[in-house]
Amino acid sequence: MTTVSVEGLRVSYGKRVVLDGLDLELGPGVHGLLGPNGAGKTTLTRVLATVLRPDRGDVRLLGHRIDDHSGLRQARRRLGYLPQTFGFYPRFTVREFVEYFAWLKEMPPARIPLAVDRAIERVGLLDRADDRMKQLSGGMLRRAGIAQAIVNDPRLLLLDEPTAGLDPEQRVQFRALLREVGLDVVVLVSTHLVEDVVAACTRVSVVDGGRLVFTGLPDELIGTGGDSDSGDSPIERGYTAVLRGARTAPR
Amino acid sequence: MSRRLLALHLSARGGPAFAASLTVITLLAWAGGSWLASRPYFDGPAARIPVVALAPLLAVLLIGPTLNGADEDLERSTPLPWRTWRAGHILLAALAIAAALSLTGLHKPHVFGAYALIRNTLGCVGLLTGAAALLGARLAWLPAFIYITAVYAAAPRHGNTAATIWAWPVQPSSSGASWTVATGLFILGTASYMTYGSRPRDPVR
Repeated sequence: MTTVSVEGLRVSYGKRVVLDGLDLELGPGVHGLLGPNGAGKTTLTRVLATVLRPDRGDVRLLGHRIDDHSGLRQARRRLGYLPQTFGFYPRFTVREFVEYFAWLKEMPPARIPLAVDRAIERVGLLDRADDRMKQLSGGMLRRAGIAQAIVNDPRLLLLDEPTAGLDPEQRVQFRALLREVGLDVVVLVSTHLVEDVVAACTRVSVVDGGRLVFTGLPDELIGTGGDSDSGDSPIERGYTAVLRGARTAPR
Repeated sequence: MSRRLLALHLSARGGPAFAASLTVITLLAWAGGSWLASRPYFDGPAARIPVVALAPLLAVLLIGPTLNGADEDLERSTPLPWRTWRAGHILLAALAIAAALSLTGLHKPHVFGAYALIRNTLGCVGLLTGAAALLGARLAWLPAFIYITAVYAAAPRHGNTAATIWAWPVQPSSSGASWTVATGLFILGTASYMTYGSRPRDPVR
């Protein structure tokens, strides 16, 4: 079942084309999005989060076209998003921060208190729920950001570098959360950390130079690598092999 | 609309700080206007021109930091009808400033009193919100600040028709052209901000 469909996506900033003719289909499961810096991962995530309007292309989220006002609003109700770096309200407590986004996502009011507590518990911040955001460490802020992204039980969850700033134990817990959420939800995780992809993702896509250059299972990505490719692990070798192949192939 | 959402939104956008600062500016405007108008060596109500030009500017600049959230991307990815909220935000803030400042000029509302304070509030809000849509909330204060201070420093108080248009902030409230310009700026700026919101701080990220 496809719940995210992108066809012929083109996004540019001025004269610089960031995504060009990108096609992508995503169904339920955890999808890793890999690519070097500047490849277009964050831009693609922002388009799917409906905060960046593409120059061209057809984007359907959860069955709704995002260029249709009513469809856009319905898709946003079932969307969870964590940007690469996010601004927060320093005077808000963690609970108020998550609650604010529950309201902005137009959750039914009666469901909000329980949903807020559940989201905070799932990211392991229940004991800090009444602390102000400005008192949290970087890793805790990241977890609060994840809590606001999942508070509405999204059908589409977009996470841009979600494990940045988390310690190894928190990353293990986060991967478990991803696997749990990804059972019946589309989760797209943009990351530089290939080990996160192996541990938590059911599928992986690689973007380079604004194009999708690989999509498949993590094992298939591993299978593209050879002993002569650079990298310290099989998936790193597969990743570098895919990038090398994409850069040498005629466009 | 829920009261809880409104409370959280006001808190997120710095509503309490806005209200406290507006109170201080209102008190200063009242004290300054009364003192200037009572000086025997000044020309009656015209002595209040500095207050009429600068108090609305300072009060309106307080709106600037409230024009965007801590993370525009996060907020814009939510389904709230943001255009309606932005319009309500500006109308409420403009109403609060106009009401507070007009109290300071009610003693003699004509010429350079309450009416001129309301007109200048409308014009300054238009300049600020238009700049927020073009430059972002962080720099939104700049065009209004430069324009109003430059006009205050340079403009003729009673000039030709062109002067009543470009120097609208320092015209008597009886000048119809000044009201037309201020109202036009308010409509244009509010419509731009309502439609586009505050320009993101980092649109390329």
